[in-house]
Amino acid sequence: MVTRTEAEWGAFGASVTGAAHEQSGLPNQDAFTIRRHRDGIVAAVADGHGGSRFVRSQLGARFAVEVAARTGTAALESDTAPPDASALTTQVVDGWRDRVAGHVAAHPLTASEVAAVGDRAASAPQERLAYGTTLLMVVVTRRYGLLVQIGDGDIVIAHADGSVTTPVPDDGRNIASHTTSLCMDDTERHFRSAVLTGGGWPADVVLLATDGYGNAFVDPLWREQTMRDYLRLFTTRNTSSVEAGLPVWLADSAAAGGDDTTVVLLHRLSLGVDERQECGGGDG
Amino acid sequence: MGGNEGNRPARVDVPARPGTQLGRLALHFFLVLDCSGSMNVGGRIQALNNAVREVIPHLRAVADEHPGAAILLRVLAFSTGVRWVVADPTPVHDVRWVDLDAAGYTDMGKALSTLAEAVEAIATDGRALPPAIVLVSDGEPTDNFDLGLQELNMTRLGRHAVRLAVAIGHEANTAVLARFQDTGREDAPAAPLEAHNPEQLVRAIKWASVAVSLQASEGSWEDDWLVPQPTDLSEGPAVW
Repeated sequence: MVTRTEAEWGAFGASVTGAAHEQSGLPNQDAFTIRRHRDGIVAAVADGHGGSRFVRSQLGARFAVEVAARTGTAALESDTAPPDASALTTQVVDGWRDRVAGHVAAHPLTASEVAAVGDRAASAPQERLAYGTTLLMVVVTRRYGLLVQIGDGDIVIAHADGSVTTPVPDDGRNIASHTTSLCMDDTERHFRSAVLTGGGWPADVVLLATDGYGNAFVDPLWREQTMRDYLRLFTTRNTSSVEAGLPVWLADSAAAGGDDTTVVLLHRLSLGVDERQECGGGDG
Repeated sequence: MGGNEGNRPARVDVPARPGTQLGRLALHFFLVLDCSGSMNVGGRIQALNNAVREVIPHLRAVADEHPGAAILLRVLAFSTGVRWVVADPTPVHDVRWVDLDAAGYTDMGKALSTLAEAVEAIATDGRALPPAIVLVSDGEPTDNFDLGLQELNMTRLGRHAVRLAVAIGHEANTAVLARFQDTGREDAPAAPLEAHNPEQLVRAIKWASVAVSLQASEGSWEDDWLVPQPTDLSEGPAVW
């Protein structure tokens, strides 16, 4: 029998193209990644901006999650408990900008792309604007949960007692289709973060989602019921069935809401039916 | 592991979807219409009724062709005081137009104050799309326009709303209508659309309604107008 510590995590994700993009022939502009480490998991989702100016936002989103994964993994390697959120943010921003600059150098904007991007926006240089994206990332270990976000989207935490929270502070500027972005000149100022340790950690389920997921629910208070449903699934069903269900559920959201929809779920392995069976406990 | 694409898997033995009912985000579209006594001159109120009746199918087409939002229409009429003609957010496919009559003064400020209350209520849902608003008038506000505009601009969504105005005839105060349109967008039209005959009114209201709806449902924070202003709006003789 494999012995697992209580704080070990599982994770999986899925991403589905929105109905609006399918209709217009645009690609999925979301991205996600999950990186496992001996001490924890790093996960990230990103939503490349829609709109005609953001001609390479699909790439911007992919670069964002890749940089987030690399940066988060380095933080786990450094064994700092927990990492400094501000320092990690700076590393992510610098890494993304370097990645974009390198891509532009190797693949300059075409004339049509330059025309689409237009003159420099008040908030971002032209090259970075083309790659504009949000980013949500978490680094979770047995000792802490580090949550970092710029732009819209959701990071939601649930505990086995049914409590559901959103520890990352809101940003009132993310309203009416407006969102802060990695492409902004002063983007570091717009990051929000939360560090969970002690009594507030570990959580039992963590959800990262691009805004297409939450926006597809009719009820603006969708988080509570949704997270309790996920808790119930993780405690009563095999993890594989939940993982198989996720892309099906996201397809429903993408069809209903029209937007690209991406979710990553992290769950404490001790919750799971299969985990409890393996360890000789639970009702199975 | 990572990715940015997904196929639709077969629905075999997957649990029921977590969460509650799904649906499109609401796009709140407001028509704010002048029904003052001067709208009886030269058949203006009949032309306005005809224009609204003609624009509804175009709004339905926008709703059908763009799955990102559900267009919900409300109509506010102002003359001496204001009244909601379509008070509840109504799917455009369910709207049945009943002709408006015209009489009284031009309480445009009160209209904007009333609109501000409705716009602020939308913001309680943090996911709200920017409202789309078209204001139509043939005259001069007879109440405190500045207060009403200030109240609208102070709402959380007021300056994010996509706002256009249509001026009917030569007596319309285009300066106040231009101030209504000004939300700070760099490419905001400097002047309201002008209609000087019934056909121009139909074209103006049609373009304005479709433009604000598309911009509100699909426009990003850095987009230019998605629907360029047509060049034939001013064709035909001026009768107003």
